[in-house]
Amino acid sequence: MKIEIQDLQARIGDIEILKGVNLTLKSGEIHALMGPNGSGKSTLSNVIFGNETYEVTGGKILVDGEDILEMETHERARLGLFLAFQYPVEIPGVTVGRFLKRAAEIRFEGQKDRMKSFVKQLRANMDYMDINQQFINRYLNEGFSGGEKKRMEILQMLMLEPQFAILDETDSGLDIDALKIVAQGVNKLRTETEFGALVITHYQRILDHIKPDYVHIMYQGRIVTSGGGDLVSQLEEHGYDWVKKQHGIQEEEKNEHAASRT
Amino acid sequence: MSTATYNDSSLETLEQYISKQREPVWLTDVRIAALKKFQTLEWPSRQDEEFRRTDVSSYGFESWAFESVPGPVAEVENPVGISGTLTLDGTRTLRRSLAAGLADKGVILASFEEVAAGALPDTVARQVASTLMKSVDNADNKLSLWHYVTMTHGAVLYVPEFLELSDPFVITFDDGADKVLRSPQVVVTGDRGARFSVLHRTRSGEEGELLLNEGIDIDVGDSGKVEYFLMQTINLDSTAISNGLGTVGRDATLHMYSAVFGGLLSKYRFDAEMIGEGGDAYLGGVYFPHEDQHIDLRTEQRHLGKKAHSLTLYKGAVICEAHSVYQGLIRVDHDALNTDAYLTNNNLLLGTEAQADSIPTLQINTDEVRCSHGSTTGKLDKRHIYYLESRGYSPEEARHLLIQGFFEEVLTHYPEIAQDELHQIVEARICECE
Ligand SMILES: Nc1ncnc2c1ncn2[C@@H]1O[C@H](COP(=O)(O)OP(=O)(O)OP(=O)(O)O)[C@@H](O)[C@H]1O
Ligand SMILES: [Mg+2]
Repeated sequence: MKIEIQDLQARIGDIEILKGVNLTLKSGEIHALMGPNGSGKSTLSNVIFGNETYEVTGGKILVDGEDILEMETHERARLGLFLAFQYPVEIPGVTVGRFLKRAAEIRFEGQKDRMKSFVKQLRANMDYMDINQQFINRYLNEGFSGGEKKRMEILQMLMLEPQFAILDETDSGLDIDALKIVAQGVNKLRTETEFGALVITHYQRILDHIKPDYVHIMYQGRIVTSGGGDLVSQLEEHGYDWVKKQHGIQEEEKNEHAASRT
Repeated sequence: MSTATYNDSSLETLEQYISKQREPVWLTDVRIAALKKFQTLEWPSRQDEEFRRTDVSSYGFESWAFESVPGPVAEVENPVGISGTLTLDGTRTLRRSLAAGLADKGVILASFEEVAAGALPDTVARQVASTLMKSVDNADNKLSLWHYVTMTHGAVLYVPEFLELSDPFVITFDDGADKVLRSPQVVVTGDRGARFSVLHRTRSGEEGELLLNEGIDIDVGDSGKVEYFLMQTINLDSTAISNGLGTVGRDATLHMYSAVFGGLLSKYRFDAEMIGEGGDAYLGGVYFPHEDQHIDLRTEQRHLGKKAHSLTLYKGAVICEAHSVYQGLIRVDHDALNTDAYLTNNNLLLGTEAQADSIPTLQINTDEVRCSHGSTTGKLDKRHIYYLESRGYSPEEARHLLIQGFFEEVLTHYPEIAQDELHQIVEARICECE
């Protein structure tokens, strides 16, 4: 799968958040996306998934050459895209088992044999993610700890085998063991299937376990620089101010906002 | 019981009805006590807090005909996985079954006409009498007292001391009549330490206008546990009024579930009274009015004993032009120290014309309690739909799953035999008025 994001612009209400994002992502590649709070990383993920809160005001998102901006969220998911949410919602009354079974049926429509082994696979993947089997009968995310929710996102990813996944800060709030388990899940798909990911994070530590092929830095709604894995350590060392200076970014945008509100 | 038809509920008619009953004195005493209070009260009007949002003024209650026709009860084979069954059609009891050995252990599942004929041993009769008398005392509206005067049919279930039964009893009220008043009564008495469950189904034919005025009285003996599952699916020409009282003894547990789907107007009330120390009550409710239905439910958690715990969770969805009203009250007596009482009401508005009122209230007359109430009314959460869509669910399927899930927290407790039907009813209503 090839995802081409071209000059993507989006806003919420009258606040512009994405101001021309360019990014090309492919199955088989791991991209890291870093950037300060509020720079637009989650917005980008949600716009890729067609969240109605955000209005796309310009640009394109092509998946294997086809523009997906007119598609509904579920149609995009059915292309083989997956989003591990920064803040997964709690769905009362819907058990993990019921939810995932139907999601797998949708994803693997027409593949009857695959659904036959669903329960076996679910159990195996739960073991792999170190999730207690009893979670199958619990309501989705309800009362889960922060770490459990994140692991549940990755479990879903393993079950649905997307061709490309966005992991929005899946590492935040995880202890080191949970972090390793999450990384292990990503690496499993990476080696066993045709899989690529955009890993959004603030920290180097997850990238020690999921080695990215590319690193991008987002600042005020734009990708300001891209590079290889070494960019992460530079950033870790010098901070975002260094990025700002390197790329001559000024705080003009914020002033603009302030002006437009008065 | 007598077989005549009574054409109204004038005082003369009611007195005549009572005098014609061939039943034990204790049962007639209940009717007489109810009639005394009945005479002193007016029919409910919108001036009464409980009926403020539910208008029953147009019913002309006094002019409804009623009858009490007994029928021979056929003993039938008991289904697997059930402790016993009693099936009524109109006021007639058609069939009964009891799992092997239960009769010998002292379990009684009797129709009201058998009770009238003296089927209850004295000790049980005394308990049933005091349970009914207590409800007459508790009754504060004329409709409920009217019920205790008229009681046209029903069932008594008695489970003796320390008997634990994992399979439910199933009591089914079917009715295909038109333009009649029915006053079905169920009394469930669990003796000390008895643990069991009851599924109570109230159904009707597709047509026919019934006025059901029901009474449910549950007495959970010390250390006992009763789970009671109510499921009402009558047609939309009919009306249901239901008043229930559960008495929870020391260290006893009552789980009362109500699933109310039918009736053009349904007015339900259940009071759980925690009389003993350490009692535990759970009141779970679901309702899903559609078309132009009006469903009004009221619960009361009444704490008299110390250290008791109670929890109410009522969940409703309203669609089309339907209207729901939920009133919940937690009342803590001044002696009920260390009470734990919670009340939650959640409403889903599924149509722009639909309306849901939610009125939770606390009346706390002592210190050292932990009480809280919360209510929410709103549409489906867009974030939930988005989440499911991101996993490939179509918006339609996401909506169905979320609404089913909304009710599931309560419905999941229902006995297996009721599950399919409950889900089908919900599923069918989700699709309406889209
Ligand atoms: N639903 C919303 N309503 C209003 N503003 C929003 C909404 N979602 C995002 N924003 C704003 O858009 C900007 C970008 O937010 P976004 O969540 O994309 O940032 P982020 O890069 O993911 O940050 P973080 O690292 O903190 O997760 C922020 O200024 C944020 O306040
Ligand atoms: Mg974010």
